[in-house]
Amino acid sequence: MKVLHFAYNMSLKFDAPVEKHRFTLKCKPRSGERQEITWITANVYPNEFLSNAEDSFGNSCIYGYTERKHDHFSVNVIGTARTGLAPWETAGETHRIGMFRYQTPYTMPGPHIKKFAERFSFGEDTPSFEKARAFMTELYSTFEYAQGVTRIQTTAEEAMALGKGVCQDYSHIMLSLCRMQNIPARYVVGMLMGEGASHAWVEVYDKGRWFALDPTNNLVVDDQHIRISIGRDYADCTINQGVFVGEANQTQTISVLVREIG
Amino acid sequence: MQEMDLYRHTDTVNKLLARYGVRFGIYKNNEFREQLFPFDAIPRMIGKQEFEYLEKGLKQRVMALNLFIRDIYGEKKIIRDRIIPEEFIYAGSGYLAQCEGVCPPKGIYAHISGIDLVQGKNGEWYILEDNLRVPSGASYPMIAREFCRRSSPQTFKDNHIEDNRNYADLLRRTLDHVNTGGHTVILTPGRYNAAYFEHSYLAEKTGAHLVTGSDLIVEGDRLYFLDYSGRREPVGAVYRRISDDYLDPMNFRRESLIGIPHIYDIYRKGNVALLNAPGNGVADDKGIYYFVPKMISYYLGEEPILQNAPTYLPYYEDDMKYVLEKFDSLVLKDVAEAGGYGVVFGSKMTKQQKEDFIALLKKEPRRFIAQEVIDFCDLDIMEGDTRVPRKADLRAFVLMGEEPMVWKSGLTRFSRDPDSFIVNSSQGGGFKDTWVLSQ
Repeated sequence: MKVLHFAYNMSLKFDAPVEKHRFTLKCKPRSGERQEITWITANVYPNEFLSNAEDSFGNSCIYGYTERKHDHFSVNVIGTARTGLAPWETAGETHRIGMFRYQTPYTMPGPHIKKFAERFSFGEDTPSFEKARAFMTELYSTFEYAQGVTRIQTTAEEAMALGKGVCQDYSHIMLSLCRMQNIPARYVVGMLMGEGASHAWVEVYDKGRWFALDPTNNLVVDDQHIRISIGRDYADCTINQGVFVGEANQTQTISVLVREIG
Repeated sequence: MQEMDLYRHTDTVNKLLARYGVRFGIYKNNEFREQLFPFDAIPRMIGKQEFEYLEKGLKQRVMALNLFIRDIYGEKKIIRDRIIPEEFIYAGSGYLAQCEGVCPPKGIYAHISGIDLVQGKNGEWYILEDNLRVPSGASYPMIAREFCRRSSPQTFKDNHIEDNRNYADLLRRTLDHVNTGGHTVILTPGRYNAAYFEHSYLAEKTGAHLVTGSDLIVEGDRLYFLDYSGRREPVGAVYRRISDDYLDPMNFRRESLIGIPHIYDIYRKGNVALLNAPGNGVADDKGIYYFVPKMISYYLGEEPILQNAPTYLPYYEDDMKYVLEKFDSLVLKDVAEAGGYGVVFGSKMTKQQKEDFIALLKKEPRRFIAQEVIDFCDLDIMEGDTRVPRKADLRAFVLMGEEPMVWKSGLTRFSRDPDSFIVNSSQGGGFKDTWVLSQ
């Protein structure tokens, strides 16, 4: 168990003013079985209208609207989390997690993933968690971590074809492989000690429990990760989504700081 | 059937329909064309008792469909109890994860349903399709009736026909029942939509505002209508005639320009009613159709009053065997398609086509359903001065207000091509008025 202080900061700079800006932010971690958020504060600027909501996956959302012209938009969330409170999360009834068993456009396997999947053969009794761990280990040793070669739109299959990518790609490939084995698996966005940006990993269902695996680092998630949101893939967990009126180029800066305080 | 004075007025009615803009817009090869929706004056007549039977069956069906949708986005008992295999829900195109746990005002998901039926030569009615997303068509018999009454008032004195001009009233009651406080609007994608005539006509008849996405705005947790002077008026019910995908770029397809950002978020909070409810397409998927009779027994504990056309799911091994055996006598439908697209008749395929299709069927069995070709009862239409028989179906409208209500009329569509079974207006068909006799 750890006590972690976290700060998530995202800012957008527009090179020309924009207006009528609508945004949905999924950037607030919530308490659960594995982590407890002991305090948290979130600031959004500019913020003519702000509301809080919860999406269908139970993620905390801040959504809002700024009508007036602005050339800067920022969010920062700071707080404290107690992590590693449990080795897994208890899942709901099995018939209610079915949606995580099916491929999405991001995770749909193609020839490259199918080829990769041929490397594995499991006994009939192999637990889902062990299968997932085998995928993770193999993926970690084959797939190359490289920034700038994939984009947020890149699918699991495209990343697999490239053979390299970032945490989002590792996670989508994991989801694809698990779902091919009929294992419900979900995408997680969060923060990790020592990472300067947001991070992604997966949770895998096994006998009524969700286990968290971080394929980018080849580790079973313990107490260094803070979970922000879950979903079927990246699209369900997009941290910042927005539309605005104006012809402007935007530059996004994200900084994440997670450090142990107790 | 005796010749009625009305039939002499077919041309007049069609001219009036054209003048009033009763058109159907279609996109073909990326080109937008508007075509008239040809009207045939010989009505479909349904006797009083027969319609009472249909009414009972339709209410039962739509009640069960509503309970099903509520269950799917809530407790999912029907999956737990293995009545419907999970993959028919989650791998279908109608299911939207964003609707999980969201309960619409008054718990209604399918407010306005268009249920397609055909009558077999044996007199039996069969359900062909449930259209729950944004079914259109009620406006056509409404306005046609108006013109028929105008052209031949005597016909309506001599025959005892239920007045169908109350559709607007039924619709208004349905809208008001779920209104969360504020104006009622009809949201249209705009004049290039196939059913734009209907949107404007229903707005006029119900007294709702006809709006496009840019007339509506979410501020805080409320939806507002921007009136001509830029004032914000609260909106409590949106009869939206745009599909789920395009409704809200912040929650569904991000590239949508016709939607209203964040409208779904405030709907989730219960601050506005959306008719029909997003995600209700989970119940009108062609794959789910097979299970509707089972839903009726499961949720209502009743025997289904109206039958499905005999349907097979190649997903089940036994059904696959049957489908391969009887291939030439079946019609096959791609569950992902609508509007008469993706429908093929086994008997009309060449050998090569058949082989290709069967290969595809074996590869993706869940994607198709197969149905017996129903020998349906033809209806006469006028072609010049002669009466000729044509295939026709009936779209009945069921509105869910405080109680389910069945409109005592409906849209009868027919195929103009004598060899075709496909009556969809997007495929060039015409329509008739539907008379429900009052005695």
